[in-house]
Amino acid sequence: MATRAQFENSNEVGVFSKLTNSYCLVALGGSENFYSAFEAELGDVIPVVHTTIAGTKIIGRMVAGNRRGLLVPSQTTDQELMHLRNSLPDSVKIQRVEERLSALGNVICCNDYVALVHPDIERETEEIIADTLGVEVFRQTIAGNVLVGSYCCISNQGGLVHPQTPIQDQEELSSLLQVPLVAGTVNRGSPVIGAGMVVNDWLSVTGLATTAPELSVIESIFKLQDAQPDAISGSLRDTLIETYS
Amino acid sequence: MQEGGRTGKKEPPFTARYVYQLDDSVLKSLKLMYFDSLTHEERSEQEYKRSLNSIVSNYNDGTMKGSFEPPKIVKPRARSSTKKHVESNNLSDLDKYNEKRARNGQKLLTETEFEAKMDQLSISGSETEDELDTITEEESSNTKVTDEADNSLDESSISYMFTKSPFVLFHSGLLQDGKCYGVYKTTLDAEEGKSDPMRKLMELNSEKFQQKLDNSISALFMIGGGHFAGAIINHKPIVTKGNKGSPEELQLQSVNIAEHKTFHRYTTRRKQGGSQSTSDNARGKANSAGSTLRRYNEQALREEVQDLLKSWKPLLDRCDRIFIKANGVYARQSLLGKGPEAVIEAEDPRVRIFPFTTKRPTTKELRRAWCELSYLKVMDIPKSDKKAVEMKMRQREHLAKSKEQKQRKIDVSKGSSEDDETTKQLISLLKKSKAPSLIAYIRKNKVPVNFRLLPEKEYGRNTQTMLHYAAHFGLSRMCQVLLVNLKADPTIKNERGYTAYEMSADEKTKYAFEVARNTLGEDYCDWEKAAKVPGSKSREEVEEILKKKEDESREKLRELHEKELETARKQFAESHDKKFGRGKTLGGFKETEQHKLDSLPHNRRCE
Repeated sequence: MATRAQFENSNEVGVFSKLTNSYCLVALGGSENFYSAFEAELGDVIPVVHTTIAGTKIIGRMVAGNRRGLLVPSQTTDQELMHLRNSLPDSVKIQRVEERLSALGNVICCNDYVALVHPDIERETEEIIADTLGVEVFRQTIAGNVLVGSYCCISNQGGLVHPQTPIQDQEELSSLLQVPLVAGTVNRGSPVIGAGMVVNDWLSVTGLATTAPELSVIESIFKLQDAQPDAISGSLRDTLIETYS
Repeated sequence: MQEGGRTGKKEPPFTARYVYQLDDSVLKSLKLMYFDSLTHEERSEQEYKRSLNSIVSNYNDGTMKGSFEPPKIVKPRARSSTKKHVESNNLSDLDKYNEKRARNGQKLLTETEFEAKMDQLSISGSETEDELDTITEEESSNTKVTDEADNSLDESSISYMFTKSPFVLFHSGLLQDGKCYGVYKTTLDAEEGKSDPMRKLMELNSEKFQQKLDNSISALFMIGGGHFAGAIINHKPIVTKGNKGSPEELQLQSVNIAEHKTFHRYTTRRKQGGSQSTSDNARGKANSAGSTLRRYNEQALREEVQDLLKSWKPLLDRCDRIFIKANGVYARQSLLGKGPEAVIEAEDPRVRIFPFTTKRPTTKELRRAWCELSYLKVMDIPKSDKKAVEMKMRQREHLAKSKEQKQRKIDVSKGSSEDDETTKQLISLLKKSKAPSLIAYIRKNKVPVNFRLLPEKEYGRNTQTMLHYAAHFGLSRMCQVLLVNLKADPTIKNERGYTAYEMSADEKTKYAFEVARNTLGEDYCDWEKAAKVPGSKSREEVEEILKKKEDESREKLRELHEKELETARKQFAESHDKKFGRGKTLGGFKETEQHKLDSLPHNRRCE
C-alpha cells in the first residue's frame, strides 16, 4: 500500500514521521488527515505513537530505528523517553545516543539488517547502532552526499536512492544492503528521498506532491502492491527462526 | 417514451433499455462512439482502429520506449564478489560496452538486452571495438527519430473513453438527431479503457448470460450520516406490465430486490455537522451526554452493519459487482475489511463506487441507483471543444514560431562564423598587445588591415576597425604598430562618425598617432582633415613630453602622499589625546627652582 499525505502543508512526511516494521512515530500537531494516513493502515497492527523529540516536530530526522530498536539523540527529554518507552512494544530497545551529529535520521539509514551511516560518525555510536538495531554498519555516501539518511530510503524489500547516484555506486550499495535498489525521486522530483517518504515492508507514505509514476516506482521497488502486514511473518521466516533457535 | 411522444420517432420503452436484457432491436442499433482526447470531437471507428494500430506498431517498434521505460533496478550481487568484480582488470564485454555507452551519454544495457544485440553482431577478437562503435551510432540515430515521432504522437489519441463524463456513449438509429445512449463506464467495466464496451454489452446479452440472469446478483451498499441501506439485487427485472404509474415509477418498481435492509442510528452532530468520531479525533473527546450517545450509536451501527454483512455472506460471495457509497475512513472500514474475517475485502476487484451523487441512504435510493446504473440513458451528444482547442493550438503554434524566429536570429548572428572567429582572434591578440603574433596572424590569414570587426552590432558603433579598437582601449603601442608597420588607414570613420584618433582613450594613445604622422610623413594621408590628427611630433619630443608629465605626476603624487601622511599623523595624535589625555608628569607637580633647592643643604643653596 502506498499512500500520500501532507503534514501541515509540507510534503516532507519523512521529516515528521518514522515508520518501521514494529512501530510508527508521528509528530504532534499534525492534521487528522496525516494521522489517519498511518492509522488507517497500521492502527491495529503496530502502535502509532504521537510524540516530539527534544521538543521538536522533526522526529523523522532526529531518530533512527528499525524493528528491533530506536535511537534517539541526547537532547531527548526524560519525559519523551518515558512516553516512548510506555508506548512502544517491549521488544523494541530504546537507546539515547551521545553523538555530535545529533540528527540521527539524517546520518543513519537502516533496514532490519543493514545500516548505512555518515562517514564521520563516532566509533561508539557505530557500536551502539550495531548493538541496539542488530545491524551491520557501513560508512557510506550516496551520490556524494554524506547525509545518507536524507538521500535514500530502504526497507527489507528494496531501496530508493538519490536520482543522480551513479550505477556503480548503486551496485555497490545494493551488494551491501542485499536488496534491489533504484534511483528515483519523490514529491515531484525532489531528490531528498529520506525526507520525502517513509516506508516499511508493507506500507509507504509519501508527500502529497508525489506523482503517479514516482508512486509506481516506489510500489514496485518496495514490493507494496500485494503487501499485507501478515505477509511479513512469511518473508521474515528466516529471521524468526534465527531468533528463536 | 416520454421523449418519443414529441417527435416522430418512437423511442423504445425502458424495459428494452435494461443493460442486462437489452431488446434485440436496441442492441443491434447501438454503435459505440469514439472521441478525440483533445477536442472531444466524435471520430469514426476506422480512425480509432487506425490510431490503435499506430500505437501498437509504435510500441512494437520500440519508438514509445522513451515514455514507458521502467527505471533500472539494480539487483544485489553477492557481497564478496562485488569488490573483485569492480577491481578486476578483465571486464566482461557487457561492462566494456556499457562503459562506452556511458561515455556517449546513452543508457546502459542489461545483460539480456546486450545478448540480444550481440546475437546480431558476434563480438570477437580485435574487431570488437569497431563493431561496438557502429552499434552505438546506429542507436543514436534511432533515438533521434524516436524523439520526433513522440512529439507528433502526443498530440491526440482516439478512444471511447474521452466523453467528458462517466458514460460510454452509443449511437442508435432509434433516437432522434443529437441524442445518444449512455451507460456508466462502471457498468461495462470500461473505467480503464481496456475492455471493449460493445463486446461486453454483447456478452451480457448473449444466450449464456441470459440463461443465468435469474441467478446473477449485485449488491448495493450506502452508508452515511448514521443511515445505512443495503440491498442484494437480482439482475432479472420484475415484470411491471399493467401496473399503474409513470414510466419512472414503473422503472423503480421493476427493480428485483432479493434482500434489503436499512438501519438508522443517531450519530451525526446536529447543527455542527460531521460524525462524532471525526469531531473526537479533531478536537478531543467531548464529554456531553449527546456525544456519548452518538459514540455509542456509531459503534452500534457499525456492529449492526457487520452482522448484516456476515449474514449475507453467502449471497455476497455470489455477487457480480458490489457498489458502495461510504465517505470517510470510519464508514469505509465498517463495510470493507482486511484479512480472512472480512466479508468484503478492500482490494476485492468486484467493489465499485457509485459514479454519481446519491442522496440519503434508503431503499428507494438504492432502487434509483440501480436504475441509474443498469439502464441505457438517453442523452445529448457532447459538444466538441474544437474551437477552444484550435485556439490553444494556434497559440502554441505562434509561440513555437516566435521561438523559432528567435533561434533563427541567433543563428544569423552566429552566421558568418568564420569572420567572427577571425575577429575574436584579432581582438585577443590586440588585448594582449602581442605585436609580432598579430602581424604574423594577419600575414598568414591574409586579413586586410582595415578589416571590419564582426558582428557589426557589437563592434560597428565604436570600434569598427582594429585601429579603432586599439585606440578606444588605450593600446597605444598597438596603435603605433598598426599604423607604422601594418599601414592601417587612420581616416576610416566608425558609425558614429569618429576616426580612430578621436576615439583615443588617453593622451598616450593620441601621441602614438602623432608620432605615426611624423614617421609616415605628411604624404601618407590627409592627416589634418580626414584623420583628424592635429599635430605631428617626433618620437623624442613625445618621449620628453611624456617624461615631463610623468615627473609632474610623480611630484604631485608625492605631495599628496605627504599631505595625507601629515593629516593622518595629526589625527592619530588627536585621537590619542582624546582617549588618554595629554599626559602628566609623574608626581603630580612641576619641579621648580625652589624644589631643586629644597633638597640641598642650606649652606649650598646660595650657589
